[in-house]
Amino acid sequence: MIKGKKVVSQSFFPSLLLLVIFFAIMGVMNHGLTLSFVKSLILTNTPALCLAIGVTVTILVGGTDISLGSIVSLVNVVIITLAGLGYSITISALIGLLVAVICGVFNGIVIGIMRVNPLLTTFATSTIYAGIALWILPNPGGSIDYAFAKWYMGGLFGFIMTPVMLLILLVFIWAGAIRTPFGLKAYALGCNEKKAYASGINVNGIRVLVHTFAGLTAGVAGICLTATICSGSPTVGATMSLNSIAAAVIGGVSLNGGKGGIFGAILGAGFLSILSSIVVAANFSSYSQSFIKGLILLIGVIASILAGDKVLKDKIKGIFCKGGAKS
Amino acid sequence: MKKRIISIIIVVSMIATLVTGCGSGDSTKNATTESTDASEEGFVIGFSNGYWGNTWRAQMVEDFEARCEEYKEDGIIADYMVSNTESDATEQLNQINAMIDAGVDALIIDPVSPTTLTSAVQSALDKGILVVIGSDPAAYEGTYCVCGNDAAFQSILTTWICEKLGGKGNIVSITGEAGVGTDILRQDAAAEILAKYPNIKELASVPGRWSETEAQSVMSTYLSTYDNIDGVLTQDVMAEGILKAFENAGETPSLMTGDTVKSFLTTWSEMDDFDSIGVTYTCGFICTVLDVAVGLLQGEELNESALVANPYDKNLKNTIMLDPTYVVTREGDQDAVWMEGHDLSKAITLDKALEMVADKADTNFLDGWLSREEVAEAYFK
Repeated sequence: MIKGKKVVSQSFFPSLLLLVIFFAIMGVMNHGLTLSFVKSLILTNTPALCLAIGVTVTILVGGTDISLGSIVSLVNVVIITLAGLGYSITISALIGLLVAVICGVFNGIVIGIMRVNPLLTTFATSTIYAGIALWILPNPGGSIDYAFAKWYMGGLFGFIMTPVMLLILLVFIWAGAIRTPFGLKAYALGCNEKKAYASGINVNGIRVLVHTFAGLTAGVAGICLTATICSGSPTVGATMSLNSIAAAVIGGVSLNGGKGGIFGAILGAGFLSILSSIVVAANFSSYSQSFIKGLILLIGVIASILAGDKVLKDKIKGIFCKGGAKS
Repeated sequence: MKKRIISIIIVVSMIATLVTGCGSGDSTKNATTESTDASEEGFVIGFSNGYWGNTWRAQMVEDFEARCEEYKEDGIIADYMVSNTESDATEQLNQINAMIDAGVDALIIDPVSPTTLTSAVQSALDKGILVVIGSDPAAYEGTYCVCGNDAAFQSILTTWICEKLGGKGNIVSITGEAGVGTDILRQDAAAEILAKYPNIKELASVPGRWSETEAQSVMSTYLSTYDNIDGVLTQDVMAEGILKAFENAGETPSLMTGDTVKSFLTTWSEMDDFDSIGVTYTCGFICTVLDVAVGLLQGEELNESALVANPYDKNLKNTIMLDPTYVVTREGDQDAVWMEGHDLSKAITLDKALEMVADKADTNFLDGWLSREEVAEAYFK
């Protein structure tokens, strides 16, 4: 019972509930979920899940990062271009990852050390990274050995898939980090920057580290995406940045910083992924698809904010109680 | 604590009823189709559209749905699904996976980008689903591709202007966008035709990026630079911007290749000393894509001559190139020089074209498609 209470009181609980319910709806609509569907869902959406983790950690310290989608495009283009030049898949992927980390460090330096607003910085760098991607590979194209896709679709012990392994790895890195004093400092920074600074916390250093980690997640996302499409497309990540922020919010992460965690973001991103599939499977007309998707999304966000905001909840409770007393 | 749990459960169940409620009509439809045996009760077709946000695409989806309804009435297809995305490659993959899981027999895909479909195409093919890439090309082993013939489109326009000038004169070109696949194919075709008319001199060629305003500014520059322009070679929506540039300069163009959007056709019909041509790159191509997919599902075989090399992979012979449906000129002459070799294109007069778009909005394009019989005759054995 105590354990149950613990789960319910977590900020990610609403997104967990949403995810479970929407999986159930999908199952009912399609007369059971097939293994291959779940597998495709994981393969396709791991990049989005990675980005949700990345953006969440930057939001937690009171910042944000809207350049991650562009980093994904850049990584994709770098891997495909290097593979085209004859480098092995491993080398290409590792260089891609390195590029992403460098982009993250760069964001971190501008935001943390030069103290430029995170939104402005990453807005500018997102254009820069997307521009470099377009410069390297102006037209979609190129290809990489299918072994890369096989590696991605396969996995350890036959059933733990590679994308799941990569996700677990990212989660471990972050979970490990927040168990050190660094974690406490990061949350403190997210709650109140001035107080954190006054308490002697190295604000700049934490920002650099956090954006570097976000860059790493974008690198992993880029590798996963490249393995999914086995080809290069300089604009492929363009739409991913905003989706990842939405995923974080649905997962109970407060945009003001200091509240929430990466589990919520992962669940939120999972919910967004299944939402796309549900709208298709329900066979809504073309004109209403966007509307219905947006509506469900809005309800999801409201539900998750309601669950996390005590003051708001008490107000609503008050309204209901008054109504009850009158009748 | 309990209250909190209850309130959350209530909110979520509201969402759940909303979703199932909205979807119930359609989802039962889905449920019946999923269990149907294709050969007995018709096929299920899925269409994943990669961009949705301009008149042309909206018209395309409408055409597709109308054609599907026709097939449904005939009992050939049992149901169809349409999904749209705003150029979001990951979302398109999710939508395709959902369609695969819903049990479609054929997938028609207009890709977000020609290279992002590998995993989805692979899982469809693994399940024995027919995959037809439609409208915009992409090259994947094991699929078919049915797309508009950009080379034919541009060579009709280019031949027309060269012929109208009597094989002699100065033209300026405003092209699409450098480096974009469609425009590369079109400009190669234009260059090939221009080579046949040595006395036609191309004074300059600049991209107008399929934008009215950009084309207008390029044309204004041309008008202030050259005073000996006999004709303008351009394509699609840029025609209207170019006319505005002439108007601003106080001049009237005499010859220009044009467009088939209703507003341009109307302007053209009101200008007496001006002649133009409109070649359709119709949204209705999607109907032919569907016809081909249904034909293949019914086990019919394609003519070997119908299949040509894929625009993105010369070694992959899986593509049907669709000639423009209509060629609009004042005369509507089917035997004109520019119609040679384009037997499936119909020459129609400007008046006829205006009649066809009479009850449409100004931004609608002249639309049309081959009949099912014409498709069967042209592409199937």
